[in-house]
Amino acid sequence: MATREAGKKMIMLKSPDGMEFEVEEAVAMESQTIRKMIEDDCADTAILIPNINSKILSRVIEYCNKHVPTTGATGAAASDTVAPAALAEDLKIWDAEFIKVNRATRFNLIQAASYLNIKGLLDLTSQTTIDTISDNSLEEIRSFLSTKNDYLPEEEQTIRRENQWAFQ
Amino acid sequence: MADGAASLLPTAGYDGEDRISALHDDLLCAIISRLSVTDAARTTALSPRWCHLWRSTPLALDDVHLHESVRDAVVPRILADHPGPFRAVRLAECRSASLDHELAEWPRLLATKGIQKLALVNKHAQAQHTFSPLPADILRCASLQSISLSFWTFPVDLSDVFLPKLQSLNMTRVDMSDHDLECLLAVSPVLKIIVLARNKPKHVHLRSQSLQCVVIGRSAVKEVAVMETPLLDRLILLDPPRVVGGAGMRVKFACAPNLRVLGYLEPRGHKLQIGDHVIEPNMKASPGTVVPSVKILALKVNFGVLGEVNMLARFLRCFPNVDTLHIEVSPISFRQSIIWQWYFNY
Repeated sequence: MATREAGKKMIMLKSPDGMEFEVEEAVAMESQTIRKMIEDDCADTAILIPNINSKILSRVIEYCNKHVPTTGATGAAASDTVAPAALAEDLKIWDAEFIKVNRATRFNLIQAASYLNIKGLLDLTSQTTIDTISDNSLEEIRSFLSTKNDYLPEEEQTIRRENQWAFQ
Repeated sequence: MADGAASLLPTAGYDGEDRISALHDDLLCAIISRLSVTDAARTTALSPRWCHLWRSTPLALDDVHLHESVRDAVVPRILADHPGPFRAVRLAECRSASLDHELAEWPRLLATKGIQKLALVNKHAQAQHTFSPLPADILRCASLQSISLSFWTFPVDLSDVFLPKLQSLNMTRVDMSDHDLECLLAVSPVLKIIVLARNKPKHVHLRSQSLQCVVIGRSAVKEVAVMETPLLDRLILLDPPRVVGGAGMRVKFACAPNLRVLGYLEPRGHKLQIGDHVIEPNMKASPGTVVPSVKILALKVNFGVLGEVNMLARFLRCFPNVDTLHIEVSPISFRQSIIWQWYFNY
């Protein structure tokens, strides 16, 4: 297996509020959007990441650092000595802690994961919302998500009738 | 990193703002696509913002999520009403007879709405001796990437079947001929994975330029022949037929230059053939009787039977480049265990 230690290439990511983050190329390439930029040679100096402020970007980088294969933050030897199942379990626990954020941050992370095309992060950040919608009543979902019901009562009745089976 | 994270921890978990509805349609559709079909359909009534989103999201329908009392009536309605594309449809609980009755053209509809992933489990035919015929149009869905079929009889006419995008094929308890299976492989140019269990074919002849993984389990298969599979990486055989004094299952390798993982070979149930050579216990090793690409090999052996142990030794010589060997020991009888204890003690 090829070692990744020699000559780690660094990439500079810039947020619109002027912060700069130097990250390993392998970490940045967890984002398919950035990967494409690097592969297309559009990443000579710094990459400006629009619409993602430094707070959110730092969290995204934190996620990518943890999830980049074989070069875990805990040390190079980890992947040689720990079984893959144990590593996966460790990541799951880490993810669960990572996503303990307020709703505003979570939705910002969803948008960031989508723009940067990081599937694992999008799955993780969307899951809380999916859990909220699953198996709860409409009223509960609206209350959990603060979704305003702008339907007139008769409009809502019509919509419900169209897919009546889903409301039984 | 820790400092940055600490400053972002929740200070006010709830701010009353409708942040989800501010997300782009694509993201809301991504969320809807991960919901059960019932939950997904219900989002239409959340607010006008959500009204059209379910119908704009590629359909994911698993009929197990529909209430039993409405299932047979609702499945045809969803298939007819949703404009597509159909990302994943799994029909295992609803009765195909009722589907045929309510929406006779359903197999064609799956094709026109670009079905990608399909599972059809004809569960209600399970107890019968002969399964109903699989609608021939199912195999004409050119958009299919993955298909899983259980309890069907293969259609007689396989002419003009072409599955240009099919990557994964899974068949359990399907009545089909050896020839049907060969045809199916021939018309699936990008097929990567095939899983077969308890089907009718007695001879599985693998010829495919794309196949990477083959799993054959619990079948009455008499022969698995790897004829020409340049990309085949893994061949997994599970539970070969229990044969007492019979020929068992013949596992034949003609051309598999990249086969890396092979298991479980069982000296008791498998007859190994490499090229034209049927491997016998006392046969001398020769370049014509090895599969050099295999790196991971799994075997199931009963060490209480001398014939199996001899054959194990011979099998191992067929795979000279194995770097990971898994040996599962079949349970041995009390009498055999006494003999082994004696053997190891003296």
